Amino acid sequence: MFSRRKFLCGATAVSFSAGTFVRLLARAAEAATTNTIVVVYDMNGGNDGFNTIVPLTGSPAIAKQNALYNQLRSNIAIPISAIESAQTYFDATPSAVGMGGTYGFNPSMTSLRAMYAQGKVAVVSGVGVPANVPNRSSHQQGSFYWATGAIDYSSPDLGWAGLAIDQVGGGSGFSPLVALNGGIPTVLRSRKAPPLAIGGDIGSFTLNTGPVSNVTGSTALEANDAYATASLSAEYARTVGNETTGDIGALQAYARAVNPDRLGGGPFTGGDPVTPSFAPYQCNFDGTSTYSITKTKLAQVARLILGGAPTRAYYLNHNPGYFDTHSAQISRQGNLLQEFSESVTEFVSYLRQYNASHNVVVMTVGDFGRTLWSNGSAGTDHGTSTYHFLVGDPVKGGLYTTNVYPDFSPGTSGGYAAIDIDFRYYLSAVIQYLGADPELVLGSSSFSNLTGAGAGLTSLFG
Amino acid sequence: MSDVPARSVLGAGYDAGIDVSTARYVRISASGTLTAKYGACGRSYVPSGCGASQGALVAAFATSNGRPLSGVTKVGEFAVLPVPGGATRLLLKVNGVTGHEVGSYHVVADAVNAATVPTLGSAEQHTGGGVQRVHFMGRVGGVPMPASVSVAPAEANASRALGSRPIVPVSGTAPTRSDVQYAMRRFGFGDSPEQVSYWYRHGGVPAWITFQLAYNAIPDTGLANYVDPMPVLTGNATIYPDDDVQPIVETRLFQQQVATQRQLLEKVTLHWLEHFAVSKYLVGSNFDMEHYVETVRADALGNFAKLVSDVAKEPAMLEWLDNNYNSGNATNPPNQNFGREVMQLYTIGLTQLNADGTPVLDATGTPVPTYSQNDVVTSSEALTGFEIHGSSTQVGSYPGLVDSVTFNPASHYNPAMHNNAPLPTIFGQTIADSTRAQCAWNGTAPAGQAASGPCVVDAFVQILAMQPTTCAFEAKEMLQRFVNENPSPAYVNRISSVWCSNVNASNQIALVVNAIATDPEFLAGKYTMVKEPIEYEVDAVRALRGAKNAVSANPIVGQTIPLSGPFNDSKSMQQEVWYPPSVFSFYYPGHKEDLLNNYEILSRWQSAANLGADVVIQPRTTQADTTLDLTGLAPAGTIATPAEVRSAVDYVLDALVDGGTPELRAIATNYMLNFTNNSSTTANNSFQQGLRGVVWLVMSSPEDEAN
Repeated sequence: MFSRRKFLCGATAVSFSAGTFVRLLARAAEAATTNTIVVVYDMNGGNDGFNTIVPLTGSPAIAKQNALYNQLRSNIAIPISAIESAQTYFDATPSAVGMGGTYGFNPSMTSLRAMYAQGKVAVVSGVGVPANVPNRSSHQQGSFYWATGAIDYSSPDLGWAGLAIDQVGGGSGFSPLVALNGGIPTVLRSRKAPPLAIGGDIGSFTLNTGPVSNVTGSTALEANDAYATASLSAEYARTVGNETTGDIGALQAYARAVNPDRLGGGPFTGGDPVTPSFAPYQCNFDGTSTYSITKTKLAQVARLILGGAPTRAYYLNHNPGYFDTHSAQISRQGNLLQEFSESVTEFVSYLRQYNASHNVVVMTVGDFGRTLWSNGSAGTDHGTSTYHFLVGDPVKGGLYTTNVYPDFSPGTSGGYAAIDIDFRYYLSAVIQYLGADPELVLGSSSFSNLTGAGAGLTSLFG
Repeated sequence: MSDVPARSVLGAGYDAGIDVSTARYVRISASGTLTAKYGACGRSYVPSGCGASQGALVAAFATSNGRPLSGVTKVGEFAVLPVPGGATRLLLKVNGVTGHEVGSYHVVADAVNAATVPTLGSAEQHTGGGVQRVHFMGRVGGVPMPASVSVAPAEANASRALGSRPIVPVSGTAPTRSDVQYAMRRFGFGDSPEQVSYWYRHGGVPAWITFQLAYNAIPDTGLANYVDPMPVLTGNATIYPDDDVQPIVETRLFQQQVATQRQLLEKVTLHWLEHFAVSKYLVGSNFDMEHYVETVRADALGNFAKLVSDVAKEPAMLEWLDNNYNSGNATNPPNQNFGREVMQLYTIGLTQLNADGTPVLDATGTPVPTYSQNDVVTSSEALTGFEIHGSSTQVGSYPGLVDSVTFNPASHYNPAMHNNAPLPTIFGQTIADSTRAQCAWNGTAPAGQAASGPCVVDAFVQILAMQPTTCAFEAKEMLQRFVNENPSPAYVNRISSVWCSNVNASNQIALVVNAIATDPEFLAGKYTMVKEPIEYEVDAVRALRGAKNAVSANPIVGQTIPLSGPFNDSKSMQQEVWYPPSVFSFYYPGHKEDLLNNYEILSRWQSAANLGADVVIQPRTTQADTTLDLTGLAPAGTIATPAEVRSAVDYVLDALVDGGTPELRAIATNYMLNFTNNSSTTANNSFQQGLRGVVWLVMSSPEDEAN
């Protein structure tokens, strides 16, 4: 299930003992079979769910919403013809591409539609922070509520994922919480396990040798290399390296394998300087030179997973705020959704090649949804409810909703969409998937019962 | 499932190490204490699990070129590690702690040359280098400011006036030289030791503040020699892609931060650029960005309402927050991007604040929002009417050149673009229709009307800027920028009061800055914050006399851009002023300690190496983007004396870290002495190499992260 070549992808001429490798393999296998992994994809800025999942005309109830949708969003409404052309239409129950007529994915999301046909995409409808929660439509508070899973101002700056990992642990040897944007997002903040930050613009970050030689008898590269190694695998050294066995070389190989761009010569630096027997695809999914922020970050996640990192929760976003489409939404959002759709489906497909997809779920989060109506700049403003996705082989695909579609009627008088599913039910489902008790994270037992107001979410997995 | 073992947020499991290139064995002992705190511990609240814990040095191993060559040896009194051939360094490993380490740790490593593993306690043959002491590279955490501080009596000369304004003597200011360094670093980007000494002798903090506040009286001679002029490419048929021109224009801000003598103005400008964060990602033109910077700088120490009003009309802001061509109509209303953020981020904040910065709470203890959704609608409608033009006004082939340089808000305000929806009362005030009528012109103002541009925008912004909650919101943000991330309510109250009392003053912000800097609590902020990357870079370049590279009269694409090296390093540390990651800018107030994550620290170390390499002690003959000119430290003779070495190290320590700790001084001095003693190259070369290493060491130290 696991290839040494894959593990070493991007590493340059690093050798280590067979015994070490066997142990790393064992660790990978252990992680792969016992631990669930959640990849949090933050649609930072607040994605417009209503142009992500479009109401069509397959039934009278949805046709009513389609009419209101076209009326309120006259300058950005996605025509049915575009969805027909892209064949992204679908029904609440997954079926093959070319079937269905109730909803349409954004026409840019053909890849995700194909995965929906496989039953591996859960579309969760009308999710958001409940009404009367102060400032839920501001970036600051909206994203804070989503990150903490709490709805009050006085919450500690700790994330629901971090708190869940505090309960279940992540195995030892490496941080159970990894952020791919160079900083520590609130959602990963934990009481016990400081997350690891991996640089955001990893395509351009290379560690050069540094012109200062002879600093305490070494080069800058050496010091930084050691530091990078320590940063990435200090805990790994403590357990696998075991402090007395001298296997630090393997650990450095590990660090290089999971993060070669820091050390120069990795595939993310643009060229293909790796050993020729390594196909670029192994590291960059499709081998193209197209720079994709999402793909690049997900490639790192894949590499960590295949490398056996016991990390349980990953965080990544596109550039912050890019989903905040107040203007020119059609092209901006279309590009973002296409990148998300293609990246996440390739990510899952890639893991499948190595039988490592059965315990990995990608979930979307965001600041809030957007207005039911479009504005004069052909965009949408801060709103309330939206659509979110769970993607991966553990997911039981389909549309999860309490309503055929979020009701557009309030929009005709300047009102906002009602929340059909409290976002805490959605988080609760994922927290339980991680093996944690949602009550201890969300502070209320009511969200543990997924058959209540979070109707249908009980079967999100499985 | 078991709990996750605690681990370091920084991953600072290893020290930088010790040279073992001449040793065959190393004997290691260690002493000292190490405490640790997780990142959130410095906050106003203390998360559970935040208690201090301790770590200890547990292991060491030898490396070469980053690769380990030896097994890992447990460390204890007289532990001995055999050093394989080719090893160059000894790395030290510290046991797991719950966060970033604070404190000091001393490691003594003896390089020994015995042919066999020496018996503990027996005689060994020591190498010439002897003992090296290493200070553990701990991290400086965000330490909450004490609620009250005791202050020392004022110096006799603290009230000496420079310039025309009388200085109000404030007890407790400028008792020490490092206080002057602190003030010049917080309200400027620091300065060379010579400049610090001058101000220490000539009135201290208040004198420097007063001198800087009257910035128009500072000639700023020579600035043109160090800041690239705007590129002029008219008549050139070649199309220069925006991305090629951008580095020239963008680096100007960094060059100005380094070279200007109007330091306080420039630092406050940076505060506002971060406050009114605009990203070029949605701004079309380099020149719109340049124009934005210049507008903010012009208002930086002036009146806040005018600043907001001017910012609201800037092309960059109009493009960034979608207020360009934002008219709306009956079917599709104006977009609310700027209408919302001008309230939440730029003036009144998200929730109402008391004068001391604490939140106003309702009966249930919940903070009270400052605005409603209806207010967002009103705000968005009031602020419509702009239409700045893009490509149609370009001159020649240069993107956006003339459009921004000649930008005139009035000519870009079109009544047909203004949404004429009725303006309801907002915050208890109503904008009269007569005000709106005055704005109904485009280009030339009608006779008898002020040619000041769109007056509904001015009137509306005025209302926001005058709200009492704005005083506390802005005062607290300034304190968090310039003093401490957790200022005491009393301090906020005092500054908020100055802010509110001067809302109509043309020098409102200057008065606020003066109040902050002369407040008895100001000095207690020393070393309580982490330097932002831009500060880390600019401070170092200024401290080490780096503003020496002349620019060319007409910079062109492809040319070496002066100071682009450290500027690019700040970008690598994810702080590129033209590209804040979001409307929240880089570091949300109170969260600057997020900079102490493993990725940022790694980037700092990389930059320390780069800057170290820019140090010269002889005039440079080859071109470089940056030269840190320490020629004055060059030894007089062919071989540097120990006194010259110590003096040079002290100078660097003084320049970069206010002198540093005794431990750091010992490391740097010993390193430099060893280096100059052992080097086989010529004296000057080895001295220069050694000095470069010292700069690297100092800039990698926790002392240089503290601000």
